[in-house]
Formats: sequence, C-alpha cells, structure tokens
Amino acid sequence: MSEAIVLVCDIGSTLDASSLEQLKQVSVAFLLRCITYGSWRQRIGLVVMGAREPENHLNELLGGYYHIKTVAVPTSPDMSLVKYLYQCQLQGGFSDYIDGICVSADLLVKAVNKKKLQPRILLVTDGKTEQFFKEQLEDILPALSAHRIRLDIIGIDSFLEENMSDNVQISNAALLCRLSDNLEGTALSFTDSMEQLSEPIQKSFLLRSNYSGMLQIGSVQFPVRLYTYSREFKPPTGSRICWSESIESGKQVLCVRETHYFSVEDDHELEPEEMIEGHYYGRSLIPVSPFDLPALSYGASKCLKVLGFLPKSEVSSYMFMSGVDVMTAAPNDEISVTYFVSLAEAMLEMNRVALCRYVPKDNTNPVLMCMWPHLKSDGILCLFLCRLPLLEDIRSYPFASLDSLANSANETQVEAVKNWMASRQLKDSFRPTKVFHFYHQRLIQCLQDRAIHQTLHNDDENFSLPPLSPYLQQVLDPGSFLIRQDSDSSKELWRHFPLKRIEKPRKKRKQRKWQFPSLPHEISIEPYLPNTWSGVSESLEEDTKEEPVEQTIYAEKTKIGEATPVADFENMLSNKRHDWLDEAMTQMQDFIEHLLLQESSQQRDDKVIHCLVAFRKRCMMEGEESRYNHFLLNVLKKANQGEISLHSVVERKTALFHCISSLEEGHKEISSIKSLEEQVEEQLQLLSQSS
Amino acid sequence: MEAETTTTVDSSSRELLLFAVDARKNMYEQNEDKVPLMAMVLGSVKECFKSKVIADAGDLLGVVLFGTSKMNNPNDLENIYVLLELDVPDPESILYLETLERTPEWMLSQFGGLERYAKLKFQNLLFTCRSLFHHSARSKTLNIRKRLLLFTDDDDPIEDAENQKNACIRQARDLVESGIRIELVPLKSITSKPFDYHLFYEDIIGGTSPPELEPSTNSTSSSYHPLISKLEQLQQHIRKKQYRKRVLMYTILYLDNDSTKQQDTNTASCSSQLDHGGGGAVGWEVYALFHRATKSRKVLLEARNNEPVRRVSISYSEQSGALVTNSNDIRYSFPFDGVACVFTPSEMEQLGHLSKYGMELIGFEHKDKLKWQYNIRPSYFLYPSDRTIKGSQFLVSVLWRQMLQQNQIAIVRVRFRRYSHPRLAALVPQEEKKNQSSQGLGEPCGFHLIWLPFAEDIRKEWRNQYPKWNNLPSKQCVQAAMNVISKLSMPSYQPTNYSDPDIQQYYNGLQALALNQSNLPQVKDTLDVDDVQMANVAKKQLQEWSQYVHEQPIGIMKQEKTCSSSQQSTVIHNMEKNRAKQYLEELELDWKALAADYSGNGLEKQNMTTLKMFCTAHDLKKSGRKAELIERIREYLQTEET
Repeated sequence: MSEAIVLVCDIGSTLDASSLEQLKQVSVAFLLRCITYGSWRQRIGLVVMGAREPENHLNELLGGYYHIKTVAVPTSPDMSLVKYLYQCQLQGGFSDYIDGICVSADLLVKAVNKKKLQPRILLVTDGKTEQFFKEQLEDILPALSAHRIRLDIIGIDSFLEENMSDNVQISNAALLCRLSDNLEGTALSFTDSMEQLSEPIQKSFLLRSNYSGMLQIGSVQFPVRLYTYSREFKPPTGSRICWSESIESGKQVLCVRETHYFSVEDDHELEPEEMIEGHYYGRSLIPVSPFDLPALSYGASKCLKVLGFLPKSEVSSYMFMSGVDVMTAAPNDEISVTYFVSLAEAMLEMNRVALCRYVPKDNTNPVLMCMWPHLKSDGILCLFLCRLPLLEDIRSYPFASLDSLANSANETQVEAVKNWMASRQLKDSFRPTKVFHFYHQRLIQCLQDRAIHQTLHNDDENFSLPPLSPYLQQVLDPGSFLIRQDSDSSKELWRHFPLKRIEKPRKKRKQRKWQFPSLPHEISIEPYLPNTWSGVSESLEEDTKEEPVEQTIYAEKTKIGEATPVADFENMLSNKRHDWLDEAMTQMQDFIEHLLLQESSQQRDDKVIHCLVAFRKRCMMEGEESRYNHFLLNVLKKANQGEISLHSVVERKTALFHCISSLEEGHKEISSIKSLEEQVEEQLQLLSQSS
Repeated sequence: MEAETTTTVDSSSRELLLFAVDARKNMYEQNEDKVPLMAMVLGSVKECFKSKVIADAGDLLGVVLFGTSKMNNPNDLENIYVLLELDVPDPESILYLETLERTPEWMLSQFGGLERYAKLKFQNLLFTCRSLFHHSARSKTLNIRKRLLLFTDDDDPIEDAENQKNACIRQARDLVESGIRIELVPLKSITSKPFDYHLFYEDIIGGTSPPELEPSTNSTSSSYHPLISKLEQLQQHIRKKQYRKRVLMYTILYLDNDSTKQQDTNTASCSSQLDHGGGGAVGWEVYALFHRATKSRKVLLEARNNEPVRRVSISYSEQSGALVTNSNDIRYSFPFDGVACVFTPSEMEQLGHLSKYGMELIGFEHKDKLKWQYNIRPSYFLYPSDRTIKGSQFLVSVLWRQMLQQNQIAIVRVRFRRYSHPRLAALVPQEEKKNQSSQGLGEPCGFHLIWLPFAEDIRKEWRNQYPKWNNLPSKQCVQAAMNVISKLSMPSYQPTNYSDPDIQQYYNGLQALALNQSNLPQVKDTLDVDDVQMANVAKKQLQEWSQYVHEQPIGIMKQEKTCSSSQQSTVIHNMEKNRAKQYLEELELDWKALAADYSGNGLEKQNMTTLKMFCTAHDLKKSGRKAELIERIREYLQTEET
C-alpha cells in the first residue's frame, strides 16, 4: 500500500554543524528513496521543529504551537524538498516533539482522508532537547493509533546508539521508543538507518494473472491462476533528445525516429496499405497478401492441459526456455484448492513433473510447459511452470569428449585443481537471486546524483559520473562472497597449468559470399528448361581414349605404388569383389621395409609413419594383430643388426612400436603373445640403448 | 526413426544431391498401387526438394533422366536428358516436377523414351553426372557431401559385352574417387522382373555402398528394403530449418579474481588485456543448443508489382523538424521526479562498464543451490577452446571432471557483448551421454550456462493471492492423486515427438502459397492429447480422486475480495441509492404524512416499486411482503423523528 509520510526534522538549538550534516544526509537519502521506489500515489510532507517563527495551521487556528514550521503539506514529492533540506540552516528554536507530532498527524489525517494511504511520521532528532510536557504524549497516543499512524524515529548525533551518555538523550529515547513501539514503528540510530537506506529495495509490480482458467487432467478440471514468478527486468532506457535545440529552447526536444518506405521504381513514398509482406521460402521471396496471413499461423483455444507425468530426472533445468510462472488455485474456491494441494503433494511425494500444453489466450500458439511442485521453506506449496523446447528449437551439434583429456592429467595437477576449487567456495549466505541488477542500481545512483546536482547548481555542464556506491562496490567484488581468500592456490594452479595467450591477431576471415540470385524469383508454371551449356564442354571421347579399362583398374589396384601407398592399400582392402587382404598386407610390409632401407630423412620418416599407422589400423580391424607384431619384431631386429635405420622414427612415434595386444584371442595363445611382446620390448630397449 | 538420425548427420555439412532417373518406357508402367513408377519417383524427388527448401541449408539438388530419346546435356551424349541442373531448390523446379508427376504421358511425349529395357550406354550417364558435379557451384568446397541416387527397375541396363561393363566400372570408380557416393534405389512395377543386384550394380556401387545397406542388398529376398526406407526417408514431413554447428562467439573466463580487483575499482577501464602472460583466464566457445525457432525472414513488398521496397530510417527533432545528423547532438534523458537527468552517449556506455567483457568467476557452489525456478532465458552451451588461450581445454577438462565428481557448479558474472549489461549465471558441468536408442538426443559434454535472475527479476506479489487452508488434504485424497499420476505416467521426455504446430503451419502455408496450392494440408497438433482417451485410461482413478476431494475439502480461509471487486460493489450500491433518491424526489411525496395516515390512503396506496425505492434510498431491507415493508418504513420514520 502507498504511504503518506510527514518528515519531521529537528533544527533546534541543541544541534551543531556536524549533526545538521547528518540530518541532511539521512533525510535526503530517505527522500531520494521515496522518489525512486515509491508509487505515484504516495504523499510526502516536511515539517521542521525548532523554528524561530511559528508557521503552521494549528497555530493559526488554536495558537500555542510555537517553533513548528510546515515546509510542505503532503503532496507528490519533488526535488524542491531535497533542495530545501540542502539549504536549510539551524534556527535555534526550542523543539517540542509533541507539537511536531500533533501538527504532522493533523496534516496526515487531512491528506489521507479516505484515500488508501498508510499514514506515517518520520521523526529525525538528536534527542538533546529536554521535554516539559511528557504527560501529554500519553494523551495523544490513542488518537494516533486510532488513525493507524505509524511513527519512526531516526536518531542523529549518537542519539539511539548503544553508548548514549547524555541523561536527556536517555530519557527522550525511552519516551520516543515507547511511543514508536505502540505505533508499530522502529527507532534507529544514524549508522543503522544509513545502512538500511543504502541497501537497494525492490519496486513492486502490478499483480496481473497470466492465465486464469481451468487446469485439465483427463476428465478432472479445476480453476487455477498463473502469475509471473521470474521475468527479465528491463532497466529504463531514457528518451533521446536533441541537445542543441533543447538548450536553445530551454526544454526537452525529443528526437523522433521514423522509418519510411519508398518504391524502387519511381521513388514515391508508400503508405502502409500499399505494401504487403514477402516471406522467404528457401531462397525465393513469396508475396503474401493480408488475406493469406492468417493461414500462416496456428491458433488454438485457451487451455492448460496435462499431457502426462514424468520422473523428475527426465527433465533438466538447462532445457528451460523462458521465465518461470507460478500456479496457485483460485483462492476462494474450496474444491479447487483441495484438488490443487493434493495434486502438488502427490507430485512432491512421487518426485514427478508434468508435461503440459499451455495456450495462454484464445487463438494463440500452444507451447509445451514443464510443471513441477515446490514446497517453500515458509510452507508455501506451489507449482512452477516453464517452457520446454520442441523439435524445432533443438540444435544438436557433435562435440568431442573431454574424458580423455581429463584422464591425461597427473595427480599433482588434479590436486592443484581441487585445492583451488576449495579456496573458491562461496559463502553459504550468498544467494545469487538476492543480488540486485548491477546496471539498474548504477543507473539509479547516477540519476539521483545528477538530479541533486541539477537542482542545486542549475548548470548543465561540467560534471562527471559519481564513484560506485558502497553497495555496488561490495557486490562487484567477487572476493566478498568467498569464504576465504588466498592467492597461493591459484598460483599453484597456474604453475601446473601453463596457459599461453595467442597474441597473434587472427586474420579476418573473408566473408563467404554465396552467389545466389539476389532478385526474387517470379513464379511461373511453364516448364523450366536449361538452355545453354556455356563453359561446360568436356569430351567423353578424350576421357575414354586412355588405356584399356582392364589394365587401369587392375594394374593400379593390385599394387601398392610409390606415390600414394596408403590410398592404394586402402583401395585394395576395400575391394568387395576380391579378397586381397593377404596380398595387400604383404605388399604393405614389403613397402615399409623398402622405405626403411632408404636413407633416413624427414620425408622418409613421414612416409614410414603414415604407412605404419594405416597398416596398424588395418591390422587391428581385420584381426591380424599377430601379423603386425611379428612384422614389428622383424623390423626391430633388423634395426638392431644395423641393416635399417629406425631411431628417428621410434623417437617420433614410440606408440607405434608397441605390440597390439588382442583381447579376442583365446587363453592358449597368451603365452606366445606374451613372449612375442617381451621380445619386441627387448628389441626396443636394445635399440634405445644403442642410440 | 531413420529420418531423424539422418537429419542430425546432415546438419554437419552441405550436400550435393543428384537424382538419376530411368526414363525408358518400362518406368511408365504401374506398380501395385496403380501408380506409374515414374510418377512415384518424381513424387518422392519433389518431396525431397520441398524439405530441402525449408531446411535452407544451402544444399544443391539436380535431376537427370536417362533412356530418353531426346538429349540435353553438356557433352551431347545420346539418351541423357538433364532435367534440372544442380542448383538451390526453388518453387519453380518443384512446380515443374509436380507437373511432370501428374502427366506422365505428356512427359513421355516431351522427352521420348527408349523401348522397355532397351540397352543403353550406362557409362555416358555416369560421365554426365560426374561433369555435373564437377561444374556445380560448390564442388570445390571442402566437407561437401556428394550423392548420386539411381532410380531404376532394370537390373541389367547395358549390352552384354565385357567392354561396356568395364567402361562403366571405370566411370563408377572415377566418381567414387572424386568423393561421390552412389546409392541405388531399385523399383518394382507389376511387370518388372525381380531385381538382381549382383547382375550389374554390384560392380558399379559394390565397394561404395554404405555399410548399413549391405546385409539387405546382398540377399535377393530382402533387396526391396532399402527402397522402402529410402522413399520414406525422402518423404519426411517435418519441416524444420537446419542449422550447421556454428560458434555464437568466443569468450574468456577469468578465474583469478586477484587480478580483477584493481580493475573493479576503476570502472572506466575494462580492457580485455591479461595481466600476466595469459594466466588467469581460459578460452571458450559459446553455442546455442536451445533456441526458440522462428519463422523465416520477411520483407515488405510493394503491393502493385511485388517488388521489395526501399527503407529509409530518419531521426528528426520534434520541434523544428530538422534532421538530426550529428550523433553527438543526441543525449539520453531520464525523468527523475520533475528533473530531467541528461547523459551523453559516452556516459551511457560508461554506466554499463561494470565488469570486463567475457566471464569472471565468482566462486563455486553445491549443485543443489541452483533451483529450477531460477530461470529467465534459454541456456547457452560452453565448450573450452584453445583458440585464444592455449592450454584452456586441458585445464577445463580437469576442472570439468572435478566439478562433476564434487557435484559443484560455478557462479560467474557474464558480459558477452559491448553494450550488454553484466548478469550472473551458473556454469553447470554436463556429463557426456550417448543416445542409447536411435531416438533420444545425446548430451554432449561441456558446460551449460544458465542465466540467473537478479532480485528485480523475481516477483513476490503473487503471494497475496495465495489461498490459505486450514488442514492438509486427507491421506486417501493424496493417495488417489498419486494413483492418477502413476496411471498417466510417461516414460521419458522426447522433444523429438513434439513439433511446434505454429511453425509447421507456417511452412505448410508458405509452401502452398509458393506452389499455388489452394487446399492447405492440415498440420497435426502434436502438443495435444485425446481428452476422451486420456480420461478413459485413468477413469477409475480420476473418479476416485474427485470423489475424495468433494467429500473431504480441506477448508479454506476466505480472503477479502480483491480491491477492484469490492470497489465495484460500493460503486454499484451508491449508484442505485442515488437513482432511488432521484426517483423519490420526482414523486414529491410527503412521507411523514403518508406514514401518519392509517386510513388506507397513506402508505398502503403506494405501489411496491415506490416502497422499495424508499428502502433503497434509506438503506433498509427490501425483502418481504407489502405489509412488512410498510411496517419497516413506519418504524424508520418514527425513529428518525425521535
């Protein structure tokens, strides 16, 4: 509910310059908060105590209310109050709390006058003025509570702090606290109130149901309502103004942005009814007349229907596509509340979620919603709904697994990551949803700052943005949410995981331009015939004039050539007509040995490795592990005898020179395989020793 | 099922697809359903064209007829007719195919056909196909898939000469070497003999046919299975735009918040420079795996001639109407309670500079703290990348493993773009899940980025409308609800089963408009269930539940009526009162005199309406008989006097 507030400020004889500063600070902060977050209905007035000359309506009517000045009767707040507070001086009068409260209560009663407003008095004082008519306070208390007036006290200059020493302050504190307790208010010291005022608060939204209708489960249906639970808040964007003209004319001159459409043919401007929509069908543009537009969208009638229930594990929260809605039963319908509560309890019990079809309004598009129950810690049981993706919304891309990379880390590296993660644990009190929108808070802060600046100085130039507010500084510092902070663990992490930034700026990739017909196609039903074959002339005769087919195929296919050994090898093996497995394998072996006989060079090693990889892969595929192992042994032996040079290859690809251990071969052969493996290992060691 | 798997594979690369259709007279014979083979083939080719248009993936399609008596091809070879060159499919070609499909006789007269099973030079066809592929627009693009689909019911199209066969084999081999996959779609008409795969085609496509086809094609008995699946596959009806794997953006995650501290205090400088060597940050690729599907692009056309219009956007001042040309002249004004606060564009930009570009780690948290209801936007998918920072993949993979093991999530602050505002988000590690069946979608491994709401994004006002109840529902009632739930259970959530009827309707409608079809095919609303059937499945349980609910309601505390309705009722009441007063004033009766008159000419003489109006005007009860009303009015007037 909106409030009608009278701010009562003490500018009496007991204040000094520093306490006046505090008074200004806290009341300006309070006013700014009211202006920023309050609704348009709210009313704010200002009364000062301790004025030299009385200036209030009660004094004029009845007399006796000296030292009270009504600065502003409760109206919609504006910056003039802030300006007044900034410029107000001490007046050194006697500040009487009872008179102040009486005057402001009377102002409030007039302002509220059957309107739906909550009356409230905020008294800012240093509590050093001795009060003479304490008994009168007791008299006005019933009258105040009859009008439901709330009284809050803010102390300045150590008033209401723990360590108050002044006797007058203590007795005043007792008096005012009793009063505010009876009137449902609070009493706060300066530091506490400033802390509260610097914390942002939430502006309330107008409650409006998104859907009010039946929830249908099979043949059962009962009325429910859907409200918004979470939606993206959009900070205000401001209006664009023309600056130079605004200065000249002294008022805001808006800058209007408009879009106009012109005919390409004769360049005259087109009216909206002279245009139709064109939609892209593939690469061609299809004109759609306004009569055809309804045929392009699907409309269903309003409903909320359960399609079925699922185990909760079937759905994950990363699939959700929208903000969340909350469902409650119609509040004054007993039967529907019973349905609702029993359904939610049953879903909680069974850990199920529901798939729903949701059409918020008649003749709109149906969407698929996931509905899940939630029991809040304060006992509120509700159902949440969120949109799920459909077939068209999902894009499935393949990604390489991270498993093998993660496996390749050694234990110290894993330990470093563990320690680092432990040092970055968030405090238990941290709630991401209790953090306020960074940009919005910053905008509010700058707006307040600028508004004060413009009211006080009335010049438009030469000011800059204020530094970050304490709240923003706190939430923007990631360290403030952590349990503990140490930089050792992260140093350790960087030691184990050296990261290197690739400094070279990447060349801008050329924009690939497809050569599609840029102009829209006219659609015609006449048969489409390709006309000319420009530039595409190849003679089949020339192509067939080569050697006889028989020779080309077989001559190439049955031999592993020098040029493309691996391709030839693969070709031979993939031939389905003949089984050339044995032939290909033998040839490959010969070829590799032949290569190894040549002098060692970079190029030769590349070839050898290429062939070996292909050979090894094929051997594994075709179940010829033993052939590979034997071949390996043979090669290594030869290398050790000095017939061929193998060092450089082994150094580059040691993995290739280990035996393929086969799981499929039976137990019988294990012994022989073992021995073979051992032999190979032996030879390998020999080789490394000799090198 | 199969169609689904192929579309997912298709999405990774572009495709050149050439249909080679036998056009000899044997193809104009009818199959078991009394449809000429040619019409059937062209129909499925047409469907393929249609779905490729919607997919809009840049695939090129073409059609070649062989065995025609006319010729149209680049090399002037006999009996080869290139119907449609390899090109982006468009409505024209679909319409053309449709015309041919409807009028096979006209088609025969147009292109001519060789006699039934006439022998032809098959190598010419293969050569033509190769040159078509070779000269198509995108043949040089890497990673492009080239497919040649052969439709025929003749298992031995060439003369029985070894020379001919060898020529064919050589051409086929050339095709395969240039990366073209040949697939055969054997057909069967009433008159055609059984298709013997081994006779000719085994040599042509033997080594190249995809492995999944082998078992069925090798045995003659089941050799028609590939046909059936193939034709079905071509005629899939789901219209969906295809998307290739595309990185949305590259970004970095700052892990070290020691280095960020200094920058935070200094808001203006938000350089993306790294402090030491590259340490402190890891690189990522961002993808959108869930993205709301949209209808295709639209532009405005001039109604007269369907030409696109020229769009001009201008900014002008409201007062003088002068065009605003200098962007420095534009400032942003926010009203703050009567005071206009003005910011320059550069100040506006500076306002948003609250964190660095990219992501900053805030800390780790247990996974349970991430509630489902903290959701505002579709999530993103993040995969580590070594593109900008070397070693990122390794560190992230270890981190990924640890986060999965410890069940942790990371909270990060995100600002991806220059003008976007920083937000908080959660990084949730995702374990790799392969799709077990051919249906369900596999889960790639990486991180999901779930956007978290700010305090402003969460609303609490709905709690005022929350119903309050006295006691919990009875155990039987909850049990009955549980019975209903278990009866109406589904095993799993399959997004592939649900397509958006709006998008389907849009594409269907657009296609119908493009192809001048008057009757729209009705889309199936996959998001709906049959109410009657569903009610029948759990008939007993639902009855039991509603019985318990009606027998044992939980008792609620009635809330005050909402403010609007109570206001309305007082407004109505006042209105009625005023109307009644007006009515009585018009009658000008002396009520006190009437009340004093007990002779029967007083109040008794007035009719019911007048009496009731008096009651309304003075807030008296209006119910009862005439005598009661008169009694009540007399009483009221007497009390008023005293």
